[in-house]
Amino acid sequence: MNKLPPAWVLRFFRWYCREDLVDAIEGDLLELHQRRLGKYGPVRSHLLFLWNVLTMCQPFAFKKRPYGRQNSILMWKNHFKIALRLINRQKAFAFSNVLGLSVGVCTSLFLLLYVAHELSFDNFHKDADDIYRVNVISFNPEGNFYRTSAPSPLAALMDTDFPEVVATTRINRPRFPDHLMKAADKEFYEPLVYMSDEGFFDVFSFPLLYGNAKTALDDPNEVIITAAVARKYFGKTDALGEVFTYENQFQLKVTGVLEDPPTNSSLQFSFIIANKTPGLLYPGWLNDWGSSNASVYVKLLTGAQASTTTAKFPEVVERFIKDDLDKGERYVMSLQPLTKVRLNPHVAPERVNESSNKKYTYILPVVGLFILLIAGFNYVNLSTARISGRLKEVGVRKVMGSSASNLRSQFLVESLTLVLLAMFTSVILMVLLLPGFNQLADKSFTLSDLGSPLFVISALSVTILLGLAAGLYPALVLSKAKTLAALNKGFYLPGGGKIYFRNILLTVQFAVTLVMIIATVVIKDQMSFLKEKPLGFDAEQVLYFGQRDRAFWQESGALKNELLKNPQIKSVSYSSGIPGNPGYGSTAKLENGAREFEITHVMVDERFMELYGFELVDGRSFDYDLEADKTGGYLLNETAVRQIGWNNPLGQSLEVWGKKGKVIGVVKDFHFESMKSEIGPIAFHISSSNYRLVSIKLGTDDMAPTIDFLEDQWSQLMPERPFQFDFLDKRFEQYYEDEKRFSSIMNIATVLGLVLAVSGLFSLMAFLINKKAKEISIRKVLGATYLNVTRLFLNRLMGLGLIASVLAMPLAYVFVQQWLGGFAYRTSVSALSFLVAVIIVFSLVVLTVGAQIARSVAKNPVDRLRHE
Amino acid sequence: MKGTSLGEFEELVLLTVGILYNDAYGLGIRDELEKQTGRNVMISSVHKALVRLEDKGFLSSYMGGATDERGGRKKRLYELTISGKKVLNRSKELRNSMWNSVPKVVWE
Repeated sequence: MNKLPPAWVLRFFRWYCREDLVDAIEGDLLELHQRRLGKYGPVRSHLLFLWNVLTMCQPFAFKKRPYGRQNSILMWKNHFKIALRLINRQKAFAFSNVLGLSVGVCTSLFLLLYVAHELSFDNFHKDADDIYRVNVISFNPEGNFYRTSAPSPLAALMDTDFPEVVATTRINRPRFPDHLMKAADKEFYEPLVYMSDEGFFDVFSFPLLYGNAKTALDDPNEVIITAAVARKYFGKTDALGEVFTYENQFQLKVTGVLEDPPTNSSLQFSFIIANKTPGLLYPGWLNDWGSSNASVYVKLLTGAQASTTTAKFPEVVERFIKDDLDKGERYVMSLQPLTKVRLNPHVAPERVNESSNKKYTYILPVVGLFILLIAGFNYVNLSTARISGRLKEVGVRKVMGSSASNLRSQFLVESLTLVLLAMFTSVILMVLLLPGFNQLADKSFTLSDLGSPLFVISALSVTILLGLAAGLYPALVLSKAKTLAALNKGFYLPGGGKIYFRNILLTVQFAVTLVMIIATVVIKDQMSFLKEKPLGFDAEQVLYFGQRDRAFWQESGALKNELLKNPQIKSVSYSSGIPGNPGYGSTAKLENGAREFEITHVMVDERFMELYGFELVDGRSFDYDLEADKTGGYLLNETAVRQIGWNNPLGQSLEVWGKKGKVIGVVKDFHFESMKSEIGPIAFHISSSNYRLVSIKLGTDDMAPTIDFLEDQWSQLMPERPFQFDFLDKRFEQYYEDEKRFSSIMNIATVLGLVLAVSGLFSLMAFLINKKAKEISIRKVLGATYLNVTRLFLNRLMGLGLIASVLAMPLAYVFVQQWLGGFAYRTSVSALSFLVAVIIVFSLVVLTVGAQIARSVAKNPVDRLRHE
Repeated sequence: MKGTSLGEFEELVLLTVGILYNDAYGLGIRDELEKQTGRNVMISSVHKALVRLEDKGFLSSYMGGATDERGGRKKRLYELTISGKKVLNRSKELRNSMWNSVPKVVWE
């Protein structure tokens, strides 16, 4: 009964163990097994037996190979030696190969790093797979609204009524980027301030350096800060008990210091304020089902299905939300896994780190693959081309008794040696290029990321795979060469497949290069389109800042007069929104109440329209002398008029935000936001309050003294707050940060790919032309011209180039259309960019080949033909 | 031929083969080693040492009888060769002479 250990273990043992030891060792092991059976029982004994067999699996016990173990090791050594000698003999070839490969390896490793980082987002939380965010979509006849936030009371409801919910937390992220924080004689505007509750640490696992995660946000007026903040304000990380003054209004006690959130966290914050601090949020927000006022995160029981929870949402909507919905609106709540948040496109762009442009996450690896492809194909092409020169060697080796597998391993070792060299160079390259890469990819990788075990393992496997892939084809072809043929003809290769194979690789290289060039040209086009397309208003020399402090707005009238006294300040205007920062959306009603629609409405003062220089297409601008304009005059943009469908908009009645009025003019459409989004309907009306933003138009003289003046005025008025401002044109440039980065990555990648492809073609042609030197000389003797000879080589390459163009163009077209699809306003893809790409590639081919043929033709035929 | 030096473990194995005399086979050697030294000895290390020692010419082996508890497998019995005995002797003498050269003061 169970007396013998598992048969497969024994079989394994007999497979590796040398014959003369099998009986002795197996006997010993079995005897040991018998002893153990009595003591430990079968399972443990079997395991121990397996352990014995595994530990016995060492070289001393291995079967002897027919030709002897020592010999095989010697052969490997010899392969390696031959490989090194080859490299040494053909330094230029090896150098270009290694360089090309290391660029390829380096690029792919960088991309690996990038993609791994992107995919690792939010993985570090404990039970990360059980954490979800509640998203809300409301479907409207006018369009759908995606929100990544939900009504606050939902969190409490889920906590009490949903048994599968372990914990919930609410995070409020106020939209403005300038939270005034003061502590220890220092004051800064902080952009990353969260407000959350005691559930925060039940859901997330950000490690606390100081403080107690269980109680840190339990009470009002508590705040958790990150280590970086602690150092910034207090010069030390242990800041427990310190007090911050927030917005000159709240005293916040530090009850916890967190490690800085990892770069792969979608939540990036520097402060977390206890949201139960009185007055921090509007009264009644905790019971407000009517607005999505917080990001709600939930943690479910391990292994619980999100669908069980989402199935209960319709009932929640029915109970609490249904009454607040507009006509025809459908309200759907859903759960989104936290780990997927990073790649979700439906989030407001200003939230740091929360959404990367999904497209770029996928495009970058493809670009890297392209470069790797070009570099790898170079290598394969060059080595196969060189094979013919080594056929004699293969023949001799075969005569000396080398087997096919022996030859294969020799060629594989050669290619692996080269690739290993390439890996070392690429590691050096990576270390040197890391800062540049960080800047390009907007990441902050450090050298220690390059040293992480996972990365080292992947780097090694990429290298070895590349070496195998690149060395496999030459190895297979060469080892199959027939001995006699190899010795006799020297140039013969089995099968006609080689030329086709090389042609295919060349075509793919051409095509890939073409796609990259076309993409780069189109991207350039679009970028300059964005830069040059008129915004529809005057953004030059406009400085702006937001202000929420009531005290400021009480003094704002006086400030305006004071500022306008400075001749360098052309105009000052207050409004609830400015371009790039539109402010409030609201429902507009037509006179008969028959139609309602969403509109952005901007409350302005008397100088606003003039400061921004909006162009009127119909009617007139605001007249401050007319009381009617002040109480009910509306300026609409063209889109609003078009959406409503008025043929004659002037004088029509409109109600926005509860204010009834008449349309007095129509403003030409302008870009209120980035050109990625469509122009929406906008209404301007006059108001004397509800301002949020100050726009100041400066003169063209040196700005520094004007800004000093502004700062001076500011500090007289608002000594409690530091002065902070931005320039409007900069704000509009920020919209295209991602695109700019992408554009420069594409530039670099394209140049890199082009250089690699051309250098590969160059070495390949050098070799081929050299091999045909005699043929060229004979042709020359017979009267061929330079052009005749050139055509000999170029015809085929041009053919390949044409095929590549045919392949590349549709591909490139699909790709650029996809990319341009992300912009509401875009250039048309012109045939010109395709033409440019083709011309670049073809002229480079002609130049590369032509130059080398010219050199070859110029040689005196006599020198080449006389030996023999 | 490989080097004729002896590792510490190898020396112990050689000695054990001597102790067990007529019945020196893998598992028996391990048992004896464990008994003598009080440390855990892996059966694979024993076999490894035996193979090396035989390669070096310090041991010779012959196949012995099979028993039931061994699943009918024969034992490989080891015995010291002349050079095996010599090398043990040499290492003992080396030790002795070195012991003797240590000044007496050291031991006090």
